[in-house]
Amino acid sequence: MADRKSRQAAGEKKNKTKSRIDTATVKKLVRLLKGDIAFIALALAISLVSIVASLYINVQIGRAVDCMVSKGNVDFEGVRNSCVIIAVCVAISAVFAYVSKMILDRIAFKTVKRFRESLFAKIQRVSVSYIDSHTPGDMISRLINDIEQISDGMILSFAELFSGIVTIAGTLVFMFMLDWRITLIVLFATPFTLFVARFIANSTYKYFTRQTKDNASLTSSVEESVTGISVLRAFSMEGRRRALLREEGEKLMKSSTSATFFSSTVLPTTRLINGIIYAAVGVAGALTVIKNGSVPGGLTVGLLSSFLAYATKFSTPFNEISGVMAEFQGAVAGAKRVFDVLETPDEYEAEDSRDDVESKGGVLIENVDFSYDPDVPLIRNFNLEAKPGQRVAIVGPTGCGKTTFINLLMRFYDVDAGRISMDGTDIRKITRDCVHRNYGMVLQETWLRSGTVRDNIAMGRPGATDEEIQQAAKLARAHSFIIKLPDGYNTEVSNELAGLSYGQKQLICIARLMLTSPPMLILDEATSSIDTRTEIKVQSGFKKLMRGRTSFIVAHRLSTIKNCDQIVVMRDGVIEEQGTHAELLGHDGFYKELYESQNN
Amino acid sequence: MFKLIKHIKGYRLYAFFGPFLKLLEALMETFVPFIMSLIIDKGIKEGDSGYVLRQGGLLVLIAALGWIFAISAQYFNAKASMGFGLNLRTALFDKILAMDMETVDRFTIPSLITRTTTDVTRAQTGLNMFLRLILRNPFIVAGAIIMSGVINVRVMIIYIILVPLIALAFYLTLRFARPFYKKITNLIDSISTFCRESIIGVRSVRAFGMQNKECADFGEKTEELFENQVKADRISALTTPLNTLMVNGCVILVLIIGSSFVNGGRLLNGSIIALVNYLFQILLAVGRTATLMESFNKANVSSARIKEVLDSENTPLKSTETASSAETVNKTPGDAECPYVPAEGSESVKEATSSVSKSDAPYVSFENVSFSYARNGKYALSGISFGVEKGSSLGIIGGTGSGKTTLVNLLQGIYPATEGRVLVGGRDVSGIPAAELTKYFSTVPQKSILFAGTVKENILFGNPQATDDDVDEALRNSVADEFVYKKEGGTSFRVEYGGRNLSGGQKQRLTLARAFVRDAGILVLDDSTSALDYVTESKIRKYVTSGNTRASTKIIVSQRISAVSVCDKILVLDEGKAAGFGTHDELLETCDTYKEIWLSQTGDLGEED
Repeated sequence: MADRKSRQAAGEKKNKTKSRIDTATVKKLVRLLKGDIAFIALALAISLVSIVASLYINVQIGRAVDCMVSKGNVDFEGVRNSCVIIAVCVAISAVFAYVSKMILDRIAFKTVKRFRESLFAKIQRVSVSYIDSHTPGDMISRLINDIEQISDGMILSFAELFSGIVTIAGTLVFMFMLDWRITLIVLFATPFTLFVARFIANSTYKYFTRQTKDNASLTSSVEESVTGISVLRAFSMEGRRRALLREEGEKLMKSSTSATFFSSTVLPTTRLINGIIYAAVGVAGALTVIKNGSVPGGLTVGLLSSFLAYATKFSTPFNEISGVMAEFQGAVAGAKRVFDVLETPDEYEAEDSRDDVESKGGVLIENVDFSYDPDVPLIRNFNLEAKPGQRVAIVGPTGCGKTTFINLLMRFYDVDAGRISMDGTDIRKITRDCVHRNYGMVLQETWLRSGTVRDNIAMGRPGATDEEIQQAAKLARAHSFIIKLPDGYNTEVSNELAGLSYGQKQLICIARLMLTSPPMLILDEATSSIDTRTEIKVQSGFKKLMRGRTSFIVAHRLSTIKNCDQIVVMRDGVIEEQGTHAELLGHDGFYKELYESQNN
Repeated sequence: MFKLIKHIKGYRLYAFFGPFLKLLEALMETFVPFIMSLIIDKGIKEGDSGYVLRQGGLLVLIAALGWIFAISAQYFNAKASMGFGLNLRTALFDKILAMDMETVDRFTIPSLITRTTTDVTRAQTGLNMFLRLILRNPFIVAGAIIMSGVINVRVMIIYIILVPLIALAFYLTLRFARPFYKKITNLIDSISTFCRESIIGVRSVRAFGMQNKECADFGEKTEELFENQVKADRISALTTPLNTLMVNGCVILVLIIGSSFVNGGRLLNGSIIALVNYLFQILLAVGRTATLMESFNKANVSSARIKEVLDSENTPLKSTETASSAETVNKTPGDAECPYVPAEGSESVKEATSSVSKSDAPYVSFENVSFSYARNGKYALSGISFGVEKGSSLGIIGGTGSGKTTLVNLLQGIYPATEGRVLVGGRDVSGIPAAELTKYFSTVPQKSILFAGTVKENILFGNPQATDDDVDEALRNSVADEFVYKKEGGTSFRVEYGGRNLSGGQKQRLTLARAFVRDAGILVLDDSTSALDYVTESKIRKYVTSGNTRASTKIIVSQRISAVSVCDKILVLDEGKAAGFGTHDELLETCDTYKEIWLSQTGDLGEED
């Protein structure tokens, strides 16, 4: 929206256009395109030849016509010669145009590919907090649309601009050679087309804004109504809804009729101006031919027709060029959004960080403070010690900081104050990759990558043998259902026919961890989306997995964590209570309240 | 597109005059080369400056007339196509409102939304493009061919042969490139999905140290896209050079034939120029049509998708009693306003005139009911029988996919039973008009759905007659008061489209309030406390199971034992079959499935097996 507005504003005052283009971004783009500049230049040179050859055809048509003077007075050889030249020019023009387009498009495609790959690679390197602070949709839009716009606006529009300018310059040269006085008429009259088109575009803008707004509100209403259709029926609200939609539909019809109509006056008006220029050139040319008589080298009937053809061709690129400017601005805006990400620093990792820590499973958390937003404190003075092999449950209402705690354990975020250590080493002195290797993580959302079941199990250890993979699956109690899938371990997880249930997916995730066999585990609401009977099956997998491993379990359902060695009850970022199930029930505190609300 | 053309109703005159004026405009344009040839052959040849000036004036006049025709045509065309869009949208919406749920499921809700919005926009833009841009081209081709015939009939015959050949060449390049473009679209989709998964799963990617593998996989995808783009380009980039070759090939032909005609005295050279110009006009028009057709195709795809919805038929109802009740429904005045309500539909969209008074509150029973979704033929429910006394409560429990929601849908007549009968208040639900049936129920669906408007308006949907006190009470009972009154404006707080400015738990509490305020005999809670924390849930449960609700009969669907254990009767569902029916204590004794669920929810994860 802002983008369109700026484009629009740029249209209103041409001089302002230049100052609005972000030169820093343009420079960066040019630097990135450096390797291709030679090829771009080559393509443009080839396109230049093609355009000149095609323009030359019109002169030859005029010459051929001039060879046909009257009955019995036709210079057949002259006609033939012109035809041969036309044929040669056509061939050159067609082939060169094709070659030039192929080169340019290839560069454009390649640029898109390169940009996408470096942006994607960047996403893999920035901090998790950076990714959390952007919606996936926003990132994807940069990766797909913005980059597409860069190639459209920078390379293709540039080529279009170039051929437009060459065409204008070429037709001018040819017209000047034919008759300079008539050329002046064309030269001064044609830019009017441009101004008229601009004027209409600017005055239509408000109708388009209104149309966009009406359309958005209608779309929302439709979305809401269709999504809620069962509710509409349950409460007999259909009649009122229909009236609302009708009203919004009529509003949209009015604004879109105006927008469509006013914008569609551009072409006829352009044609009107060109028609008048055509008439003027025709009359001036005809009068010149009459006055000159048969002065050699003067304007002839045939050449007048060539001139008319040039006059028409001369006016065409102007509208295209104004479109190019808008495209170019779009490209710069898109490029800025892409550079914003590309220039984000990689996640910081101290140089002397250790990468070889193999934890025995002891985790110590001392006086930890953390918040995402400095104004809203979240975790305060958090202390916890997990001894190797212990099971620690973290419970509490939504928003109490359970998931944040996991983020800190995994070093997705670093603590603001205090420290977390693994077997005595501050985890900030260990590389993130190394911290991650020491944990196995199962989240509420199962994460499977497109690929086979085997690939997904082997994800954490790509070199695993089939035997090891099957062994892991057996331990996770996944083997028996996997072999029943259409292609066994080679079944694609996205395969609709295989129809993996949520529980089965979770079992594959467990098998994956069985294979990597990390010393510590994190289960973040891992079973909360499963119904309790399926959960029994999945839980027996979890039990196997947790044996001998330090485990952190975030749970919603208290019945599942009763036997943990420690239960940490969190409320509003602080530890409210801490102890075993029995101890906590004895307390008559928040835990007891939670527990009882779930069990009566 | 043209199969939908009856929806231009009300805008026919516009749709006629628009193209007609376009035709006039195109004719004006084809006069131009002819007049120019007159200037050359008469004005210049005879040295008559006055004639030249007069003809020049004529050219300006023609341009001006053309402009007037064109502008009026654009106006009519805009009116016609946007009116067409409005009609389509209305027709679609009426159709969807009258659609039974099986048909809705078949299309899926997101698809119905796209069809009513994006597809209609494409269809109306397509129609406008057709009237405004595409139609102009055949007019010009026809005009140019006729005018060339005025000059020389033999050359005209060449043109008539050439036009289809050129069109064919365009068609072929488009056709051969199309499979690649289709592939490109799919690849871009798959790249976008891949990125989404990678970004959403960022924690998993990092936990497994898969960053490099992700980049490599991504690289493979972009490489494939690149290769396909180059291949598609190789073909589609042929269009322009081919055009150049054909245009100028024809020019050469005309010059050679023309030169012998001039030599034979059959033509003047001014006419040759005109003929060449007509050639350019024809070829440009054909070229333009070809490029426009490509975008027009999109509109056609959209039109087909719209037509599919408009032509869809509701799944026929099986019950014999349907016919008689459908008749009464069809007599409801006002049906004439919405012609898209299918005649056989008992799903009347009119609000029922009869009302159910509280005194004849119903008694619900299922008699050997089975149900299969038409889409896969599998039984979602089979052989279900049970009864609920008026004023009592029924709990329904079972795992995911056990048929709980299906049962609730059958009860409310949203789907018709495949076999057996569902009775409410002693009447078969398939014989009760939808609008009347809804009066029996006050439902809280699994998914919380709210509408744009104030909190109060949303609650009032449940009961338009409710007073402010009623609303307050309902908000209190659904524990929604604590957040509603903190919002700016309290109950006048504006809920945005679909409730997107509220959290899941807040939305759920409002949908509960909306049901609590309703005067209906049966309160149905379909797993509708899933987004609430246990404390809030237990407060709401206490209210629901108290005697204070407006509805005396309650049906509570849940996966949690704690939610149903206090009900008078509990139905245990397992894979579509009734695994048990009775009180909590009875079921613990007799029903293994129930016992298993109970154990799983009160048992312990930590226990070694």
